[in-house]
Order: sequence, then C-alpha cells, then structure tokens
Amino acid sequence: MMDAGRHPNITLLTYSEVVEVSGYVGNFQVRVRQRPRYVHTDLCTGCGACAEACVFKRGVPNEYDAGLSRRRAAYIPMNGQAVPLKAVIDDQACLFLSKGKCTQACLEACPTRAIDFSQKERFIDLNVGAIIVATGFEMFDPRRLPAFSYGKSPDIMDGLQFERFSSATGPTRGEILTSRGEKPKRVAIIHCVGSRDEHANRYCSRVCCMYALKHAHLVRDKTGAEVFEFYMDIRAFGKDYEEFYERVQGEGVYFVRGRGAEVIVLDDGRIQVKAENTNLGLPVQIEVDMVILETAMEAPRDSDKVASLFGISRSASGFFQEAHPKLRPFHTNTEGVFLAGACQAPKDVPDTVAHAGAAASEALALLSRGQVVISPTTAVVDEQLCSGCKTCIVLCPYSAISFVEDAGVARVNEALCKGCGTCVAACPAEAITARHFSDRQILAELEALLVPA
Amino acid sequence: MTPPLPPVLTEEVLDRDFMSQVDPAWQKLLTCIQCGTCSASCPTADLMDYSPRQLWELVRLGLRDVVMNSRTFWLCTQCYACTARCPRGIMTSGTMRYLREWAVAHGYNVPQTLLIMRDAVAATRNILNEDNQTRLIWSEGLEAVAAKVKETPAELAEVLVFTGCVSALYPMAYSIPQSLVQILEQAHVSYTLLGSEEWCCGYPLYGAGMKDEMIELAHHNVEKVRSLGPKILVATCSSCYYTWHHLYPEMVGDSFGFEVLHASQLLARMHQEGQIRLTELPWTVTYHDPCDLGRKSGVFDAPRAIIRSIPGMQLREMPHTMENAVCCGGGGDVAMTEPDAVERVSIQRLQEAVATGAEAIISSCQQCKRTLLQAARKTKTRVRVLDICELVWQTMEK
Repeated sequence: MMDAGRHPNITLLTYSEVVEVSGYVGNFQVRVRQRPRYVHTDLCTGCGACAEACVFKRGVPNEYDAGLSRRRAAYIPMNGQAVPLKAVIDDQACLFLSKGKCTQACLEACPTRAIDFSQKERFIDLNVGAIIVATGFEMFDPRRLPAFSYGKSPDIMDGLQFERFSSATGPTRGEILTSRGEKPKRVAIIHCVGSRDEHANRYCSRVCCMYALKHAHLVRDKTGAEVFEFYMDIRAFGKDYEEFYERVQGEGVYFVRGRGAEVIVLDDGRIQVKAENTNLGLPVQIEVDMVILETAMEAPRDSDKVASLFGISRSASGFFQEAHPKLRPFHTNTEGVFLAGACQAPKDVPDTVAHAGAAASEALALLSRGQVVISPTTAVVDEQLCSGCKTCIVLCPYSAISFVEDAGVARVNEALCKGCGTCVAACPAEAITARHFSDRQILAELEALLVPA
Repeated sequence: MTPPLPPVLTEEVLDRDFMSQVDPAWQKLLTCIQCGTCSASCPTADLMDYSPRQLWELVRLGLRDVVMNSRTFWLCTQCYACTARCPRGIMTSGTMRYLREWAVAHGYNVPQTLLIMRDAVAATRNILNEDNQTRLIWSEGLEAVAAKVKETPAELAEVLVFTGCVSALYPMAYSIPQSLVQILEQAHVSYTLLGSEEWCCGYPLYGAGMKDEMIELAHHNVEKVRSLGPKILVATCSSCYYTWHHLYPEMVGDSFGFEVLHASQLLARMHQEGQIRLTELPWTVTYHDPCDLGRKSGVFDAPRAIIRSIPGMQLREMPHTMENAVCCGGGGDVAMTEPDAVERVSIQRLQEAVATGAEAIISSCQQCKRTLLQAARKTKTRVRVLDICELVWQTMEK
C-alpha cells in the first residue's frame, strides 16, 4: 500500500467512492465522490496533534480495532498507520460538525493549519481504459447465530477481534487477556462460524481453518493456555499449510472433531462450550475463559450496488461473478472490468496477491495494446428500417444500444455488444440483424444438414 | 440395550433403499457432515444408545435392524434444537418422527403406551380415555363462566378458546383455561368453547408417528370452529397452537376464515390495546420458552412483553433462552414412553431456572408447567410454576 501511495503513476483517491460509470472498454467515464475529510492533505503532516487535542475524549468505537478500543473524531485511521498518513475528521462523531458545539481545539493544535471545517464533498471525473474492482469482503456477524451467544460476554470474540488482541498495535499491545485482565487458562476456538451452514452461508470460507490454526498457535505460544479447537474438517489446502497444521497439533492443542454446537454464558459469567466428540461419540462440555469464533468472509452488504454500478453479476454466494471459474477467474462479463481479491470469493493473502497481480497485468496488457479485439458477432441496425421505437434499448442487457436523436434511430455500440441476439428477436420492424448469425445463414445451415447426401 | 453393529461393513449389510423408505427428505439426509451439532444440542442424547449423529449414519447405511431396535428416536422430545442448528439444514426432528412412522407402519417395537393412547383417542377423542362429555369439567365452579360455557353457544363470539386435552382433563392444568376465560369475561370479550365437540388436536398422534390418524380430528375441529364463525381461535396449549398454526393448514388447507393465536399473543394484544391492566407483583421470575411456541413458532416476545408490563416484576433470563432454550422434557410423547428420561431433563431445566434466583417460573404451555412442577415436587424445590394465563389473571386489575 505504501509503495502504491508513493508511485508517481498512481493517484490514490482515499475517502472516495465511485458513483457513476459509463462508456466501454478503453473508454470509461467514471465519476468519483470524494467525501470531505476537513483536512487539507497537502498541509497535513500526519503528526496526530489534532487527535490529541480533540475534545471528544470518550470517542466512538475504533473500527480498526474491531470496536475493542475507541478513537476520537479527529484521528489518523488504522491506529496511525494509514496510507496516506493524513488525519481525517469523522463528521458523524465531530461535535462541531454534527452538533455545532465545540471549542474546535484541533484547529489551534494543528501546527500547519491544515484543518478546514468548510470543506465540501467534491466530484472527480475520470476517463479510464480499464477498471479493477477490489472491494473486498466483510466479516460475518456471529449475532446472526444465537447459539454462539456472541455479544453476551466480552470473552466471546470473533477472529478479527482476537487478531487485534494479539497485535502489537492492538488495545492490549499484543497481550492475550480475558476481560478480567488475566491470561486465559482455557480457550475454545470454533471453526466454521457463518460458513458451511445453511442458516448463514453455504460456502466454505477457505481462510478460516488456517487463521484458526494460527490463533491456536498464538494462544499456546503467548499464554500457554489449553486450547480446544472444535472443527468439522481441517482444510489446509495451500503450500506448507498441512505442515503448519501438523506443527500446531504437536504444540498440544486439543482437536475436537465436532462442530461447536453451543456457547452458553452462565449466570455468574462462566462460559461453557458444548459439542460432540464425533470420533468417540461422546458429548463434550468444556468450561473456558475465552471463545474465539472463527467467522466467515462475506460479500459486503452493498455489493449489489457495486455490481450494478460496474455492470458485473454476482454468484449465489453474493461475491462477484468471474467470467469463467477456471480460465478467466479475474475477468468479468463486462469487457475492461476486472476483479481482484476477496470481492470475487474468500481468499487468503497469497491467493489475493496472485489474483490482483493477474488482474493488473491483464489491465495493463489491454491498455498497452491500444486497441481491443471484439467478437465479430454483433448486432447491427438497418437505419432505413428502424422506426425509433426504442424497444431494443430497454431490453439490451449490456446497455450497448443508444438512440441517435437527430437521425431518430437506434445504434449499437460494437464495443459493448455481446451478440446475444435479444434486440434482433425483439425488434418489431425486423431492423436489427446479428452479423454472421442471420436468419438466412441459419436456414442455409439447416438446409445443408437436412438435404440427403 | 444397545443394538449391536455388524462386525464388518460389507456390501451385504448395506441397504441404500431403507433411507428413502423412511424419510421423504432422504436426499437432504445424505448431505449430513457428521459434525455432531445435533447430538450436542439434544436434551436426551446421553440417554440414547446411539447419538442422533450416529443414527443418521446408520440410516444412511441402511442398517435397518440396528436403527429400528434403537431407542434413540423414541427418546426424541421433538424440541427442534438439533434442527434449528443443523448446518446442513436437515430436518433432523422430522427424521426422528419418520422413523416412528416407519415403526408404526411395520409394527416394529412401538411402545405399548402409544398404542393405548391411539386407541383412547379413537374411542373417546381425547388422550386420557375420559368421556369427552366431561371436557368442560375444568370450568365447574366458575359461576359467571358456567352459564356461558356449559353448552356450546350458538351465538357468534369473537374468540373461540381451544383448551386442549391436558388443560381440559388434567386437574393440575385446569387453572390455565380457567384463568383465560375469566380474563376474557373481565375484559368483556365475547368468547365461546367447543365443549364436547372439541376433539384432541391430534398432535400426540403426530408425534407418535401416527399422522394418518389425526386427519379426521383436524377436519372435525376445523369444521366445528368454522361453523361458530369466531374471528380468533386462541389456544392455551403451545402444542395445540403449533398444530393449528403449522399442521392443520397442510392437512385441510389454510383458509380457515379465522386467526389462530396463542393465548400469550392474544393477552399481549389485549394489554397493548388497554383491555387488560396489570397490577403490581414484586416477584423475580424467569421465563421458560416452550419448544412448540418459541423455537418452532418464533413466538418469543409476546409472553415477555406481558411479564415486563407487570409493575414490580423482574424478569431474569436463563442462560439457555429463546432460540437456545432447552426442552422441559415434556415433548415428543416421551412422557408416555420414557418417563424417567423426562424426569431427568425436567430436573436439569428446573435447576437452571432456580439458579437465576427466580421465585417463579413462567411458561406458556400446560405441558411445560406440569413437567416443571413435577420436577419441583420431586426435588422438593420451593418455586412457583405458572402459566402466562395464570399470571395475567393473578395480576389483572379487577
């Protein structure tokens, strides 16, 4: 990320979202809405003085720490590791921007006078040749499965919260502690929370087995606690992954072959995990001081909007649909729009890097060629016959047909047309034909087939 | 005794057809991942010879004699905890019931008590083998009510109260319908009852694997209620409610012409509309979700709304609550076949309830009330067990 931020040919537009896309491969018009950050990025040095000075001491849950710590309204995202390293003022939390009442101590504190409450959102229009969608994933919210009692005890956490606990920049500076501030003695790790489950997501989220094993290793290593790992199957699919599984087994983790069925918080706050040890057919009931729910990756809630913005489709799981599961895994069905990373399917880091690299080189290859190869099978409108009824325009799934006002006729954009034939069949005036796929050609083929040799 | 497994699984002992004969949803059963969520969620699993998970494997393999000689599916309380959690979405409770159907159809080790119950319902239209003419016995002594409920009134009433066999004929549960009709009386809501024309809803037969025997009961009850033309049918029994709400529509079509409510829903609605005013009762209580009403019908809020509306009352939830509630043991006809199992399950649930510090356990089901009250007596535990109707009648401004 740092490298991307420094690269002379890369412009980072942070705090921004794409709001409109039109055009076609090689010639997209993209409108970007940049939200006001109330900080002039050319002046801000990322010193953090504004965050220190912000009077909203109580703050709001820090999203970067999965809500485990709090941040103020003026802050440097990602606990001071954002790229670019610039401050932002959260207008929902800022007392001045949301309520109009604040001493605005941050204004005074800023040594470079970078803060500007009068900033407004702005729109940036870009003309680009290719688009790479890399909108990522969201973590499954375990509240949706009440059997796991998530939210009923601070010691029942999801995988991301545990990551923050064990991170040196996290709320405990990397110490794994229970809510009582002690090292846990027994920890339960539950696999497949929100994945491989018809009540949540049917797919295997792929990365969880390995990060769960990592968590088991970290707990053993940092606290020496007993770890009970409840799993249905361990899917250690990648290079060196099975070896890591074997190593964690050797570290003395209890692997319980049985899905964590229930986590219950007793009246006095003690936590119990129930499952079946299916290897023995014995019920398991273990009291633990910490539960880590290894939650699934999910398509972001607004991915339907992103999909329709870029003209891409989604698979049943909600992730973006690639053009071909084996041969075109980072292409979409819209020419010039590519996918990178977990927006296409759950992926771990190496797979994401590989996927993104492939998408980038495909986009570069497309741009450096300077021209695009399209299928010859496209629709064409006979402007003499076209009555200008616009039936085809509404029906075209690729928005490839536009209406030429002065001529009063429809016209097909060959770069966008996929030759699906919808307009050909729908045109009431029979003014549209599919090139190399005309009725005459098909009838001739049939005739040749049916004439006895 | 645990039915023995064959020493080796060879092609001769496997029978892929067995599963499809037993369970119409057998293709779903094939997708079982053997994760054990069902076994770990089951209140009676530790009493079973094969755990639920093991039973699915035996069914899939077609080890028919092992399956049919197992006690496992007769110990199922039909509480639905396994089904609600199964990650493959398999209707595991349904499979348990289909195994009972198979046993009944083939005369395979069906518990005698269930056969007696079947004959009783056929002969008397109630599960207790009592003369159904005595079905209003619970209302004797209610002077104001007596006139109205002695005979089925021909007049059109707004609410029809469906009492169910247990409330109508088990003295321990009489006070539940008594409370409800007195509440309706006090709130000036016109109501009626079917009297001796009220037949068993058929749910005990359904649970026993005798679904065919309940069709006649369903048609009779729906026709009789329809002929009285109420706007609302209200059941005090969670199982009767489940039957009316989920099973009858499948059997007789869903255009009843009246709304089906559980008593807790009707009471919550009457309270919201100001027809019921509740007075102070400074008790600490806990609420036990009946499986048929809670997990199986999604009614969690109505009874809790009533409890929270009583001035001075404090509701303490048990660790296993709402979707995670544990069965009292009273479901699935297990009380008829394996009373010892019910006692164990009900004592565990009672202990969980008492551990909250509650002076009273509130439920919305006569069966839960009976089961938990018996557990309290058995263990000499000082705790009240009340149905939501009784609680409302007790605290209602009169």
